[in-house]
Amino acid sequence: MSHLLYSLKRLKICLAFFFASIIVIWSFILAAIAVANSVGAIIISGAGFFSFNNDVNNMTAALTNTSVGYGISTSNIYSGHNQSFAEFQSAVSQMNNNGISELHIYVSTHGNKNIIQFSDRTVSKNEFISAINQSSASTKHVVLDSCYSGTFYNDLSGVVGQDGTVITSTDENHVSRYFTESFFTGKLSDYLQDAETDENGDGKVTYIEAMGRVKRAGGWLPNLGHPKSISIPTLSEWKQIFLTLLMLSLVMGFMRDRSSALSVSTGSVSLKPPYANLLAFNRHIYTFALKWVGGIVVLGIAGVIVVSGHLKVIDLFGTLFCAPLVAYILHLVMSLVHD
Amino acid sequence: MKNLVCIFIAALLFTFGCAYQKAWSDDLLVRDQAVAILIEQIITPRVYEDYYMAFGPQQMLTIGDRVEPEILGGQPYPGSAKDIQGPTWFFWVDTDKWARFAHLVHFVYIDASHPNPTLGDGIVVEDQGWWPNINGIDYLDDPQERWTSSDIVYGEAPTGPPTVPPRNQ
Repeated sequence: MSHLLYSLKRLKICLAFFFASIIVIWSFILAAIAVANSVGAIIISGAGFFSFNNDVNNMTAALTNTSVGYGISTSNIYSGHNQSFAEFQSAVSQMNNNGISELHIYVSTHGNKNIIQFSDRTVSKNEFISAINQSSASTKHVVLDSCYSGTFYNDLSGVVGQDGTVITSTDENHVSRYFTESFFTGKLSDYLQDAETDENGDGKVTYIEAMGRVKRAGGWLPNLGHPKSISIPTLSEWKQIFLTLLMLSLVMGFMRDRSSALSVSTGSVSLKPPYANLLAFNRHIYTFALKWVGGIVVLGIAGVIVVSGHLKVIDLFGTLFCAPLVAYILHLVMSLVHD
Repeated sequence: MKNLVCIFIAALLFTFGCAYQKAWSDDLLVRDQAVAILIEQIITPRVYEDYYMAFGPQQMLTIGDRVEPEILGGQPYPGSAKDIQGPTWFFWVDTDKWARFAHLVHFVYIDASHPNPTLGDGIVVEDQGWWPNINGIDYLDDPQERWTSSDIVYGEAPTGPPTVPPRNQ
């Protein structure tokens, strides 16, 4: 009995060290991710008229939306009306200085084919792309709302990075229309903030999802825009985590059963065969494991809120689903150690 | 006697000169006439739904004035500049008031001294892509200013998105 208590005490100390290590490592990872994945945005208009200004305001609201949008921190956003090309170039440099690794660029303006207008002059496609290329961000999302902006599409696609996005308000032969705001940007910014746009249910509305809705709902009104995403669609992260844990649980449960059966067959443990399967679940050990996992989850959530400032609903549900599975795996490990 | 003849001839020339000057200024088209010609000959045959709006300065252009689109060069509307050669009523016809630029617009020049101008004879229509720039000054480039301007000669300012698709959609 005393030996069992000693073992349990040692186990508790080991587990405490183990989870403390996990927390420390997790914090470092979160901090590293926060630095490495800092997201910024340049949201500007090349003309100073009211509809262009409204576009900038709409897109700023959409990209800072934390519930389903990209949730970019306002401190990482450069937004301006009636911007000159020099101001745009300066904004790109500013983002580089801030260590932005994922950059969103939105420009609303007038344009000809292969030309867009800034407040001081017209800028050719090559000049514009060259300015974007000055960004050190590995991933770029470029949204261009101007007439014939489709003429920029192919060339922009080459500079946005593997996970980047290019969206233009029109194709190569059509104009962009407006009233108090651009019809295209008005819809895009609305849908970027609407949870109903989240087609894959991962809790995040992407440009591609929003563009799909713009095309379906807009009809002829905003013309056809060009969406591009080079990313290959995969299962959402939570689905992968959940699936991994489930498989791990099954494998461990299966191994535990085989281990019991083997022990029984060799007669090394006094165990009646009808109870062997029940060893895959021990209520006391599971409750113990669940308490530990619950504690870690609470600390983890607090850490996420401290680091990122908010917690998405999908993450909350994902954690609630995965925590019992993690506790179950832990319970199996503890059962093995206990034996 | 010689002096009297000279004075008589001078008075005669002065009288004829004044009379000619009066006749010339009487023959110049006034703005309302030019607007009527614009609507009848240029806008009516072209207009599509309520996409059109037209604007014209209150004063006619004169020799030495210069009109050019905001941006010269590029596609699909490379545009061209025009130096005014005589008294001319200028109008800017926007064929798609909801469209950003560039898009098809017409610069219409009506010869104010022509008694009965028609397309090709006293009326010049240029296809351009931008708002006009008159003597280096942007003309109604701001839509808010444009839609409330007293220079509107045709169409109404939009009150919301268009209710019918554009012509070339």
